[in-house]
Amino acid sequence: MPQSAIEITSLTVAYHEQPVLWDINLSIPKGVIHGIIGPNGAGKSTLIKAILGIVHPIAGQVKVFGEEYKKQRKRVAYVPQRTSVDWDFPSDVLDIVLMGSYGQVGWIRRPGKKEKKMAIEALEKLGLANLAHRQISELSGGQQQRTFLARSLVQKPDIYLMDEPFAGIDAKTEKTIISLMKELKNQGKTLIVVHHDLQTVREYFDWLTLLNTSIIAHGPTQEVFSDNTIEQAYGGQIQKHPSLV
Amino acid sequence: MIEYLTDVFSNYTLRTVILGTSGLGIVSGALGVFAYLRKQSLVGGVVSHSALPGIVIAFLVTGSKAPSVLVLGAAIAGWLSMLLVNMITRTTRVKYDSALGITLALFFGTGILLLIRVQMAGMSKKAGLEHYLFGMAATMSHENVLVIGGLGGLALILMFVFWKEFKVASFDPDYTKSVGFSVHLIDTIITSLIVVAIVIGLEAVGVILMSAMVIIPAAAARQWTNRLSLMVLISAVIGAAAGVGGTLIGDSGHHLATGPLIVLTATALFILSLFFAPKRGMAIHWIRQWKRKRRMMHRQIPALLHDLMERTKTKDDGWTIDVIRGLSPYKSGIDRVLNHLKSEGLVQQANDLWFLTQKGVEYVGIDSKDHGG
Repeated sequence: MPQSAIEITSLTVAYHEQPVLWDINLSIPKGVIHGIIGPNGAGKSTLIKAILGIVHPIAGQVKVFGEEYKKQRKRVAYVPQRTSVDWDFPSDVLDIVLMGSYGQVGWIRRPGKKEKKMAIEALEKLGLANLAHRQISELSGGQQQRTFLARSLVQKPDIYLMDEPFAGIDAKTEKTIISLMKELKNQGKTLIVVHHDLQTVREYFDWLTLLNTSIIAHGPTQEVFSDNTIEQAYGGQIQKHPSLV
Repeated sequence: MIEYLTDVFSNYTLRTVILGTSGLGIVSGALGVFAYLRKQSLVGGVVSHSALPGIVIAFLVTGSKAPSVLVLGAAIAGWLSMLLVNMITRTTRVKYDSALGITLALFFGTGILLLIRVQMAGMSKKAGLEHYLFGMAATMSHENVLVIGGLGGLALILMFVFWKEFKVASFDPDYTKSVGFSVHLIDTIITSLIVVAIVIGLEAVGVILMSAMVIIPAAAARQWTNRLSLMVLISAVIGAAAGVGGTLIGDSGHHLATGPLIVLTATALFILSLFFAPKRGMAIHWIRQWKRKRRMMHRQIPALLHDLMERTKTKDDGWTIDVIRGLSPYKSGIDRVLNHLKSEGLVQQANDLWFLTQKGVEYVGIDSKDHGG
């Protein structure tokens, strides 16, 4: 069996004694686009943050390419939720994308010409080259999302962890992002994507985790994405989806 | 004017005070930017109030009122207050803002208690500790300026050294953690530098008002620029200007205290920025809005008159301003626009009634073609 990209065993996370993730066991294979879906408050973002060591589990462990996150962090890029930051921050687009080089550069040293070149390449890749010096407060939702993706490209990682990259963006950006994701997958990268739109699940994801505090179902999308599992994950929260009838 | 300036520069005491107050303005202005961007403006208030017991205890322990000793006491107490805030938010369910309030009350209350105790014991005259409540810039000594320059300079150097880390951690802390930086360490450094920026200003501005100096220049600077480096620079300049301005007004001989004057000067600069800064300023916003509205009315009112004319099929009838106002989406400024249209020959007025002229009819025709009908 090929080594998995991420291996999670008995992971439990709690905020003030309230479990957010309960006994998660998960193995995410290399080279797939992996979706994580579930209702609001299911712990999707927390799962990603636990993989990244941003939140600390009360039990369990996470292995990235068989090792601790700390040892492999240069092979992982995090794309946070667009709305998790205040975009009224005094910076331009290039500035933010350059932050993608900070992990490589390390403490105190400043990014140089090489890093700047990488940042500009990433901007071009996402069609943001002409916005390099645009103030980030003036960006549309789609442009903000592409800025975050460009920042992650600069890291040249093997694993991408994306939190709701399709939330609140225009159709054109959605197409740009999904084709970029497929391109990255073809290069052998692993993409783990928190997602909320059930309609596009089949189209976008090879593998899928249905989550609601604990894992409801996990595996290839064709096998696990069914009326039954959705019902289990979402409970009575949604109407039966038309595409599944 | 020139005479006044030479006067200022030949006056040794005043020169010392200006050096001190402008120095503290630069340091608190520059570092205040990070407090502002991290939405931690209230931290300044807690640190400065919490410094008071540190000052009094430093005096009680050492018996010295040397600025370096008292500033050290203030810094330790200010720093401990931040530690307590962190401890409360981490170990209990008390929210951040409540933790700030609780900590401020605890430290400042203790400080006042100790200060009055010292006063009662008759040690107060010797110490002059009550200056630290409201500030006493006029008595600023050479050593005080050295403390401001030394510690403040060091804080600014560290800000440049950790510039990249401060920037990314202020914008996106979770991401910063994910790429391997200790956000906890960066937070600690930023907080420590803000503590330094505050305690070096306490003698001149006082524990009660000093927090304003880490908020107001930064808030003013934000109005002028969208670049972090420029924001820090402008904030430092505004801080310095407030220091110098407040000192000079205080020196003008009207028995006004310099500390509050520095803070009020900063506030005046903030209000000016809020109104007159390009792009973000309210004045430019209002002017744009008003111009847009006038442009719209300029097109809409002739069109409205034309419409009325078409419906009634007569060129002789005019309409009162009340009818026009009733039909227009704009309720104010209609008379002004009508008079302006009249001066351009597009409308005519007879008694209380307004008509569209032939030129006005053509204008409406052209305008509707221009704008796709």
